[in-house]
Amino acid sequence: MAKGVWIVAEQRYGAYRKISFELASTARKLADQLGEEVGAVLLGSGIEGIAGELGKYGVDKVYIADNALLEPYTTDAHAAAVARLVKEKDPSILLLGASVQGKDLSARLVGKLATGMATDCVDVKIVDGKLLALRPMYAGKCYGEVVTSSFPQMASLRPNVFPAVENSKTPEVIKFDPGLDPGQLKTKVLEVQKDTAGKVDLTEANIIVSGGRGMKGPENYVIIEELADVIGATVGASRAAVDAGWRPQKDQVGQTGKVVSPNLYIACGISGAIQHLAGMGTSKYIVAINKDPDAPIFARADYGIVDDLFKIVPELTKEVKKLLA
Amino acid sequence: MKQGGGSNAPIFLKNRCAMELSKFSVGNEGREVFWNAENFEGLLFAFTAVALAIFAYGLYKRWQMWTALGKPEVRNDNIQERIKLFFLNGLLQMKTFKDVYPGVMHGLIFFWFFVLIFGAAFDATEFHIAEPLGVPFMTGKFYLVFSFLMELFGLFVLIGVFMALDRRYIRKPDRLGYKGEADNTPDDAITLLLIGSIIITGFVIEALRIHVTNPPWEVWSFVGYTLSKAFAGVDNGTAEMLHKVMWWIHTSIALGFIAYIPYSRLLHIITTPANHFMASLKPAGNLEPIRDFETAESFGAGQLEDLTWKQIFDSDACTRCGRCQDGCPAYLSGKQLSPKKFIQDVKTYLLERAPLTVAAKKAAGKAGEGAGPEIPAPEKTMVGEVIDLHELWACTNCMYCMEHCPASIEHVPKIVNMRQYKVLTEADFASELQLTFRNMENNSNPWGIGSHLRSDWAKDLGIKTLAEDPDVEYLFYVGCAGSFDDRGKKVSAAFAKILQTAGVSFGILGTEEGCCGDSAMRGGNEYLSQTLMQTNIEVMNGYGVKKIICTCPHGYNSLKKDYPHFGGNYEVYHHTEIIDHLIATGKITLKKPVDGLFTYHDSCFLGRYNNIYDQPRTILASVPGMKLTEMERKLDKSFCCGAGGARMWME
Repeated sequence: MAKGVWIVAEQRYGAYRKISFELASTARKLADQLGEEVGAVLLGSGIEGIAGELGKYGVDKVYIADNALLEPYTTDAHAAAVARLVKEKDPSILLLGASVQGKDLSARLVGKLATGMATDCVDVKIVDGKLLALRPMYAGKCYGEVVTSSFPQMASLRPNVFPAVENSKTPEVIKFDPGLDPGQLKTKVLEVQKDTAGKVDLTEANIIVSGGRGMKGPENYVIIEELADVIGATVGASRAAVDAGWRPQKDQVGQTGKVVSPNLYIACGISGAIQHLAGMGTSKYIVAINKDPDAPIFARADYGIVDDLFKIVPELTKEVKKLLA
Repeated sequence: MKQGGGSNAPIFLKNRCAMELSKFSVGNEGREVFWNAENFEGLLFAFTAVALAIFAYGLYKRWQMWTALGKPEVRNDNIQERIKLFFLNGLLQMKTFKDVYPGVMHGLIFFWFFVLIFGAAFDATEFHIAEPLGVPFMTGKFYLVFSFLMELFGLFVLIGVFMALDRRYIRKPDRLGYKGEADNTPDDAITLLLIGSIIITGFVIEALRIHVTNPPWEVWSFVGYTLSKAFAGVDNGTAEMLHKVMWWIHTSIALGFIAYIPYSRLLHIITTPANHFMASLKPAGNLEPIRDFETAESFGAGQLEDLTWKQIFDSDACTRCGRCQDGCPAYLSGKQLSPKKFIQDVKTYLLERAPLTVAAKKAAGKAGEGAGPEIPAPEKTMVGEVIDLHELWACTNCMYCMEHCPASIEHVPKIVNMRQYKVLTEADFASELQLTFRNMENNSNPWGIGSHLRSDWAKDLGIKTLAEDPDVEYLFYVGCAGSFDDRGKKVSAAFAKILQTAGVSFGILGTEEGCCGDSAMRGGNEYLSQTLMQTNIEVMNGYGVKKIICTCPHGYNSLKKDYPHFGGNYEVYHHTEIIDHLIATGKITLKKPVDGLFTYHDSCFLGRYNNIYDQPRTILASVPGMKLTEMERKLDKSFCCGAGGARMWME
């Protein structure tokens, strides 16, 4: 009988992604209801040191495979390692993040394990001893409840939805052999080219400050960057600003740029053309700063400031600084 | 003539010896065909036979290539219409004349060279038929007029050749190249030099003949006559010898020209008129739907064989004139795509692939029946390697290339077919496009806005949906932009107000309306576009819709031309047609003056696709106080905004 609520933890360069803690806390909750243990799979190279950290979020057992072939992440190596362990230990539930890496891994894994999975879930609970997952359908117009009839019951959880709740366990760290044969691995990572020095990618950012045509020129983005630095945000731009050559294309938010969904989106000097709204309309809170009271962005914004952004943005930076001090 | 007659008399006497041999005299003007080349006739026939054989062999080889690859397609229906196209565009070159200077240049060469060939045929008829029968016609006034015209036409051809040389090698317009680099090949120069030297040597021969025989009437052959003065002082023996040499040079070049045709750009003499004959008779921009979704294993055109024979043949009708490139929005905005290069790349690939297929078919034929040809697998993929993917996705489907191609080449359907392969077979396309497709699938609009919000623009405007009242004359199909985009919504509301004011009976579909499918179709997602179209058709047919008005040119074009493929047959109008009609019939009058200077930017899908140029202008002209001006690129030369062909949804 399958037993245990497991997660696949995500780490990059020896540091956990936030989703790992969200997964761990959620697994803890489910495991408590079932009266089972929480297991976590941690893969990588030189990661032994961080294994214990997962206990803080309620993990009982951390299965780690410390192997050069597992760093950096490749789909085939990670899928093979997780599948091997899961087949052996037979957990009842397996949770992954619906992050870029988690989406990639879960698809391969679900095939290897020949089981079912609910993707991009916003809630999971135990009903009649089984995992019931809630996932948005039709672009969020309704929710579907998914129950998987095979084991392990897999689900990928949408990042930034589940709370990371602190706990205080000292997990048991168990090393396992990922059983990797270098000859069998089809993917080799030759080189990693990192984008933006240390900045969070737009699609993963919690807060985004964007500037549009109203910025009037590339030099004025300084005030946007200052605000972003203070509140820990990533800087985005509208198509108008990108087309004008003020910002690089990778910063573009919108239909033909990045589709983002941060908790807070601050739009400065962006009118809110439909192509832009299509890329950020699902943000949790939208703040718009624009001189034009008729700008369509205000129809979508939770908070709107009708004023000159060159006056408001530095003021905002100053106030936040004060608040944080 | 007066002057010529007087001064020529002594010379006439001087050359009496030569003229005594001739049966021609003043009053019976003419010339001896094969003068000074009497014994060359046999050789000439032999050489002509060789030239024709080389020509025929080349054409046969080419024919094999045209028929080696490609899927079937009917292009010999409606012969009457096709003959008309052949006559208008092949012989009269109406499409070539659309661009005046190069049109005239080409006309000077084509028409008059063509006539000169007939002139030579006249000579041959005189010599081989008329004279032996005792009814020579190349005499007297007819001969003089004939001579004069032939001189004139020869001169025209020469002028045309010089214009072409000047254009190609001195003025070098961008269209005769790619990204500022001329794409001239030796063939271009050879062709022009061949034509030029046929004419020049012809004149020289004539001049030498006139110099020796010097009949007074040859002043009508004004070029040869003038040129003959250059030989003054050359004795008759030398002149006759020179004449023989030049005669052979002239003849060799002319025969070489014939033999050269199938191996050079001159092939367009055959392929281009043929392409006009086989031009699409479907409405502009028509895309043939994929019908076999259930059974097909591959969609669209990934390899050359996936194109139809006609689509492949197209590439051989291209002369690299570059008119397509001149107005291509992708090319002009610095993208890699040039419609000319695209067609030429297909052609180069055809010339690479077809011989292998021909050889394989031959081998299979030898191996006996049943053994199908083992056509070697292509070494490179057409879509991706022959045609760069950046080029493929840069096209906006604006139709400039097809509208202005003087060879009736159909670029756009090929591009869409290749996109279909990338999207439907390989599922390899831009992520932005994937987002758009998904939005269309989920919410039937490209932005992914909830489809239940589709008719919110019409709230409080007193517009009824067909569900509320299906008994209306027109369906106003609003479209995605008109339903969701802030500017578009204003257009929808304004147009609805116009209809209401004019008392037109109309309704909308409300939330039952879906995306028209144009972007999905032109973005290569034929499956999605058919799904969208069929959904709309079910709804519209359910209400018994007969007449539709669209504001968006893309929806208009799609409903008008794509929907009939799937059982959606409606009278489709653009709102400019309706408004124009309402103004003309006095149903609405424009009273409020509008100040300022305005211009009208022709939409590709209205203008080039549907020939709607006048109605928007007439409407604007009836606005009181409005000053109108035209932009440089207008009407069928209008410059694409860049959003067509699903480019709106790509970066």
